[in-house]
Amino acid sequence: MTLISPITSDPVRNWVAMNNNNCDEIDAVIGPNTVQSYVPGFMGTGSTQPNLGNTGTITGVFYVQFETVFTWGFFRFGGSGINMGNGSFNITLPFICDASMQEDPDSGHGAIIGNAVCRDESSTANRQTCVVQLTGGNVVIFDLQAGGASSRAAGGAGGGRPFAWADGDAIHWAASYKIGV
Amino acid sequence: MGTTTTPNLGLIKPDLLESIKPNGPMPGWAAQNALNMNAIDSAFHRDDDTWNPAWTGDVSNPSLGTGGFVQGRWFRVYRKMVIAWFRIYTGSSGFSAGSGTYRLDLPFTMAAAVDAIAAGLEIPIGRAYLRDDSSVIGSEIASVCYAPDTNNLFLRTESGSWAPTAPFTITNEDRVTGYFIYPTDIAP
Repeated sequence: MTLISPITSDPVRNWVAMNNNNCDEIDAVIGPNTVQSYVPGFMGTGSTQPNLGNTGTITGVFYVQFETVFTWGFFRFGGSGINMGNGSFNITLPFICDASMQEDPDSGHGAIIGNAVCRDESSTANRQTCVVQLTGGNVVIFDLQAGGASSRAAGGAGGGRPFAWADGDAIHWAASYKIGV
Repeated sequence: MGTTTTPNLGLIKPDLLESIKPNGPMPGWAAQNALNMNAIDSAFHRDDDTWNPAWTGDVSNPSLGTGGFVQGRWFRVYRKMVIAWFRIYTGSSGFSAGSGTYRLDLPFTMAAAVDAIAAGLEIPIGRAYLRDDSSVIGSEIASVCYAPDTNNLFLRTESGSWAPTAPFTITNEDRVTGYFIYPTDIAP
């Protein structure tokens, strides 16, 4: 914040402009005290793009304080026309990440900024946790853990990983990071 | 002559004619400044405390053994965010596991906007470590998930939801510790 502190010789009338500046600076840094909604983008890294289906949903919310954004969201496949694609799922965050954060398009290479759950609606045994990884700008993938109870495959969650995505299946995530300019 | 206010905190900005008035029919600088200081102080307010999260089972509740505990600590930053830690020790003897999916309470109610997007589902808001004292190789890292249908937490493990026999049979000397971060609408 660029706050103005008057000096002894300042005329009193200068206080008005100084106060205006200081109030606006402080107010802008604090920002609105609300959780706001946004619609994340959804795409894949493969040659065949995924499709959530005609009743599929994707939604996100975020809360900003200073340069940090906290965000939560989910997508869920639904209805007809579902296609899980043949690459890793990508979703977009509400803001681009600060350039100092380590971004990389490959699974396991970029910075981890949150947690996620792959939810197989028809099989609780198939549900598994994963992490949210930055791939670049405001795009992330969901890195899976190998092994576990169902001999799961590592890599980015997507077509066939960690299960065949169908009606009702979903990924839920929570992440936080520094906003870029 | 008059004042304007900032959009978020409502900080008062008097114009030239309003700026330096004695207290009278309209509030002068002293009153305006006091309001501004309070608004700024509230925005940067922080708080922290301990709490004892209720540890329950969907069918019957676990019962701690000798020396067992369920402890929690939370810290609030900014105006909505809650960062919380918890740890559980089942006790040295006499622990009873209860039955059904295990759940833990939040220190503050989840913000309505986040609760709304996850209806019937789950939001992974933290991580936990479940330590099997008798067989460390059976220990596991899990996601701390918020369940909107019950307004509390459960742990997503590689063997399903955390329960008396998942990911291992919980007994005396076992421990669970974790953290989570989430927003609340409860005023600090």
